[in-house]
Amino acid sequence: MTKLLAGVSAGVIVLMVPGLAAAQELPGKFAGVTIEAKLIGGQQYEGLYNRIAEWESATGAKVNVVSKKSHFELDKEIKSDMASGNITWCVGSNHSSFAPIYEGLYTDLTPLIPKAEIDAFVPGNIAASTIDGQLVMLPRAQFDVSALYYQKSLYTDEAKKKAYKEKTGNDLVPPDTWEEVARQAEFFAAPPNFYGTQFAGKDEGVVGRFYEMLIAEGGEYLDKDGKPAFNSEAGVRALDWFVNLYKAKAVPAGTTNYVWDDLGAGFASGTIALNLDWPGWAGFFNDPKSSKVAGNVGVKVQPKGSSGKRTGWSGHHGFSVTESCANKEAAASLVWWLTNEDSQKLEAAAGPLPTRTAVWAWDIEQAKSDPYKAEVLTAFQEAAQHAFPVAATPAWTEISNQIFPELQAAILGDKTSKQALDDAAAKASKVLEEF
Amino acid sequence: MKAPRLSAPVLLLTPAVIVLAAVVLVPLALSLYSSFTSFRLTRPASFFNVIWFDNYLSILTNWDFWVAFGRTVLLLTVALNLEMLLGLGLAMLVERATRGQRVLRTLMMFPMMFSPILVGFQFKFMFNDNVGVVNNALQSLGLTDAAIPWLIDGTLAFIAISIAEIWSSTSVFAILILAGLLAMPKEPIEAARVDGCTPWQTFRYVTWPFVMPFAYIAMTIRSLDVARAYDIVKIMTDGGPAGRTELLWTLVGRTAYGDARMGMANAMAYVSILLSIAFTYYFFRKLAAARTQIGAEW
Repeated sequence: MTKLLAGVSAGVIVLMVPGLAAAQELPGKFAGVTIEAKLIGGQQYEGLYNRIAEWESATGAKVNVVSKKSHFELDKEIKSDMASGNITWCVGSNHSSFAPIYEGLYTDLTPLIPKAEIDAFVPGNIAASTIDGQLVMLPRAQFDVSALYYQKSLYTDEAKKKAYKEKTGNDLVPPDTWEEVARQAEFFAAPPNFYGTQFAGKDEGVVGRFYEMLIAEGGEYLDKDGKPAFNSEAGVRALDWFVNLYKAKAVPAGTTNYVWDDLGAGFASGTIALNLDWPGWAGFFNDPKSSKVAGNVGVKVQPKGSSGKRTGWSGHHGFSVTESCANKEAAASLVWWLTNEDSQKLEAAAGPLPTRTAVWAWDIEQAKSDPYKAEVLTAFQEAAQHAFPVAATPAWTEISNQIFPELQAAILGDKTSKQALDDAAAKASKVLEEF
Repeated sequence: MKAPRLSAPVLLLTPAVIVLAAVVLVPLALSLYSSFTSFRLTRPASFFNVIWFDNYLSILTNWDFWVAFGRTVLLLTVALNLEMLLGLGLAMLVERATRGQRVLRTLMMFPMMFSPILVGFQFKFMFNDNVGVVNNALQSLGLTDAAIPWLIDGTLAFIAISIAEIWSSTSVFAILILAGLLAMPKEPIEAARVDGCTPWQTFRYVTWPFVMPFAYIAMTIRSLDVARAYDIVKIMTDGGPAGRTELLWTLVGRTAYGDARMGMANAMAYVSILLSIAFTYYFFRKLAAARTQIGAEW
């Protein structure tokens, strides 16, 4: 009997635990509480903040936005707060690429948010918001991953199809592997008037592209001890992809100097066949006022590397709650509010990609009458499933700055891929040692 | 006992001294101090880790630094000389204009009104190998059928950057030299003409000595500008690709903010300043000589 009682009470406790975990009804009541917040500013981001007033009237709490700045300004401010130990605020804007820098600043949201709510996000986005097992932010509908844009007409041209089949033995269809992309890029290229593809060639852009290719080739950026591991065989394969395309003149000679604006202008000029690019360009590419390929743009999920994994370097904005916050429940409720379905619909309606599964479905449904937009969203929804954030190191930016000149040296033929990667790894190790 | 009273001049100068100390001397002293430390932005405590001349010694053997140094000197030489020649030409043309001189002067200053960052973007797109107007024009005119990699090849990129610099700042020379031309007394020129000088001789022996002090002032100002060239290069090539267009200040900027090695960057900056001091000294000496030659009273 005692055993039975013990069993029953254990069962009751087990039953209660999920109830405890879902500690609060959202949004909850927090009369008299004031939450101080540091939020990212800028036209694209601020529409959402109109919903703060609704949260205030629903919960009885007040929100005091102590700072609203561009991402880089905010980053500087947060770093100086951390250095001076002056963290008096509760909610902060965060970004998946920068989250590892704010080590120890933000609290784990898992105990504060009901599990069902966390599960409603796209799993990849939650994974990218989790550092060392801690969910440090909830993602908002400001998500970026690259998918493959291409010129549709190239794939309906019978002469091209025939020539490609004769040359390679394969059918000419929009590519699904990076190997195929390279093959088709060389086939399409007719410099100086037309190129097969292009890539970001400097700064963080080229490092990000190399990083995702490395992952798709089955490599690792940093090993489990946090040491550079990209100068592996997979790394050489990944870098060779860029090197060979450059050598074959399948990409514009200037590509090592390109960043996002040059790439966007390039594809819109109609001189590039295949272009891995961000969702923000979709409208620009299909607008006859800005683009010569308008009406001829196809979008599909980003291709796979030789390991079978797709590329998917991604980033998203989110909101976090500080570890030192006096009223974490209220802060978490605000973070949830700003990332809940209604908030995400509000942001997604303006163009940016959502991070909740249900909002994706809603977004695609909304675009039904516009086949191009529906194609774009469907492609990016699939792309999102393969997305991953930058390597979780606070030194990502510093390492990137060391590596990109080496990647450029290999692409331009000044060094072999192996030599460039070894040199880059040596420099990156030095940065990490000193970090 | 009476408190010591400060004399009027000291009292009057104090605010200026305090402001100068706050905005110039203290930051200067701090940056000089930090060049003797291993200061890293990401580790505030390293500000107190004094390593004496280690930063300076490692600069001495840093090949990348000296290449960037040399490239900056080359850019200075090329840009200053061409700007001088073009500015002189422009000024003389405008001076000849009998009507609309004011409009011309304003038009001439247009490039100076653009932010260097925007000039950088503008030239980056013009020199884009694929969609840029330069290659497009060359190809349409049948001068080449290749896509010239303007911003990739080291020499071509140097030319492209020089063109952007020269475009944006030739008017500094033009305006200053024009001021010299307008301030110049007309009698010596008339006298030279009466004495049967050719136009070239009039220019060489009468006009040129008069405008020389103005040209040297412009040179001094622009040498400081070019020696700290950063914004245009940052946007056009960011010192790349693979370091082919690295200049002193893109290197210093990268070291300071990219690598967060502020101590090292400050040491580099102090070595770089020697370059500016050398040029300024040289031009001031030339200026003094030129003034003596024309017996200027200013």
